[in-house]
Amino acid sequence: MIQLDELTFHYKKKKPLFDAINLKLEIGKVYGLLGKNGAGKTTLLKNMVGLLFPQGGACLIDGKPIKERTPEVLQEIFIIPEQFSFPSLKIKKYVQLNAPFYPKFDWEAFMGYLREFELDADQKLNALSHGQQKKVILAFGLATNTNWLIMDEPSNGLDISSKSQFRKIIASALTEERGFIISTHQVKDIENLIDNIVVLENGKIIFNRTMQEISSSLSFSRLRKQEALELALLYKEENLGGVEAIHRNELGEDSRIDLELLFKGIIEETEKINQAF
Amino acid sequence: MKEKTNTFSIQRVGLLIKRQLVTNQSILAIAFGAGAGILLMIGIINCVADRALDLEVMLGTGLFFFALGSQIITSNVFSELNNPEKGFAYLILPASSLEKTVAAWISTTILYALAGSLIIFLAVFLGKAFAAMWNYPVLNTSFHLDTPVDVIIILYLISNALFLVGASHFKKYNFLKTHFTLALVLFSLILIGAFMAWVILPTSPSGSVEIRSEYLNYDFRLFVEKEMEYILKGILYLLAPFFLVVTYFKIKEREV
Repeated sequence: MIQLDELTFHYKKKKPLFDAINLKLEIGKVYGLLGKNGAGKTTLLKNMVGLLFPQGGACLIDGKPIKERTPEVLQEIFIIPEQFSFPSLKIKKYVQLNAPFYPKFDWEAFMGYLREFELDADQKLNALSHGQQKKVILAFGLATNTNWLIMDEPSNGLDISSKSQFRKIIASALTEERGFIISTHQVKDIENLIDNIVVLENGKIIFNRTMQEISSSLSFSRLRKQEALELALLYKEENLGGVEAIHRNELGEDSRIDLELLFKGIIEETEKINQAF
Repeated sequence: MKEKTNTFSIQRVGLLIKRQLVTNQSILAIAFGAGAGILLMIGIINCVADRALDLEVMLGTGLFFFALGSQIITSNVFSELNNPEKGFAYLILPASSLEKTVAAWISTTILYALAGSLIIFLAVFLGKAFAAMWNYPVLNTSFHLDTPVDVIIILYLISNALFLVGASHFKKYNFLKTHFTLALVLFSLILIGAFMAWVILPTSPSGSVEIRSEYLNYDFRLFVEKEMEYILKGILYLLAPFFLVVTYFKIKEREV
């Protein structure tokens, strides 16, 4: 379990980015970490893996503070950052040098992911495009078999077909023994993958619910303008074809969760949306 | 696998050293190749100009490049850490800060010394071969250093440990910044020393401060003559481990 315990972090002393955040993330689930630009998603992820240290509180992985960066804890967590660069080595060489640090690294799975991404292990890393490099680090991160895989904007830089390969690969790697945290702006890319949505806004976790809870408490529908006026809506967004709306799921109907609309609703009408649960 | 979860594992230190050397193999090969080439060129020029190979020239130059190369390579040992796009990979690599410090020290101090000595040996060997080919004599074959070898080794260890601190502390221009800091610290120590001498030592009849033992009282003179040497030696021996401990904490506290 990853536990943020009263986590406080600031870059500038007088302006805290996070103020005593509490959060518990359980293994075996896929968490979608959403937030506006500058909300601090990347900073939060860096705190979770020990790349940044909180000024107050702690981030614990299975009860151990990640700040200590002990091999034992680091063997169970891997981050795929949004921005990274590789040394001038062949893919195979890079993996040969880094994989031995991860006791559960699966070479066969890594080669499988590479094949899926149409990459060759003999290719030089710095000769690859950013999108291809992203595929290599994704393949490596998945093959480490760490308990936690944290991804910051994983689909950025991937083309349309690569995005679908990415979804397929992530779906195939989901197990009860692993937890995933995916931070993204492109919610559509992870729509069918996530089990839990966490929204970060103004230094606070303003929403943390499972997809099941969302589905049973909220309903997403496309209404005509007149209909929208008659119903008590939690959030609505007008567009050319009518009104996209979120309302309470009073009848227990199943509706497709529109993540983009839900995210906007949470940001604009935090209280109303949270009260629906 | 149990060994791998400890805070210190020799196996992981080995992996870190291998990772460090292979990742920087091109730069290291160029640096050592250039060092050997320059040294050999100096030997050949020496042969051609003086019609003899003076080993003192070759070894003197070799030791100068050895020391310079050691400082440059040590200053860059954490270059990965100082690159925001690469630093994460080093920090999240499952190895403890102690292992990372030890690996950096072994590769920059021990392995570098072995490789550097080998390069000097090879260059001297080739220089001698050229001299023999042209029938030139080899001068100063019993090259000897003014400073005792153990002092040279201690100074080498201190210098390398100091540049490791610089490598872990500064994010850019580590080599220059370490040199600048060292110059600043030494200058400050000289100033403090001069001030202390002015305060402690009596003034001579001419009005200037004179460091002459007859001006000191007996106890202080005895202390300076007998104990001070050991204290200074102790400080000298402790400097390298002290710098290594500082490096360890710098790595431990490092963020991206």
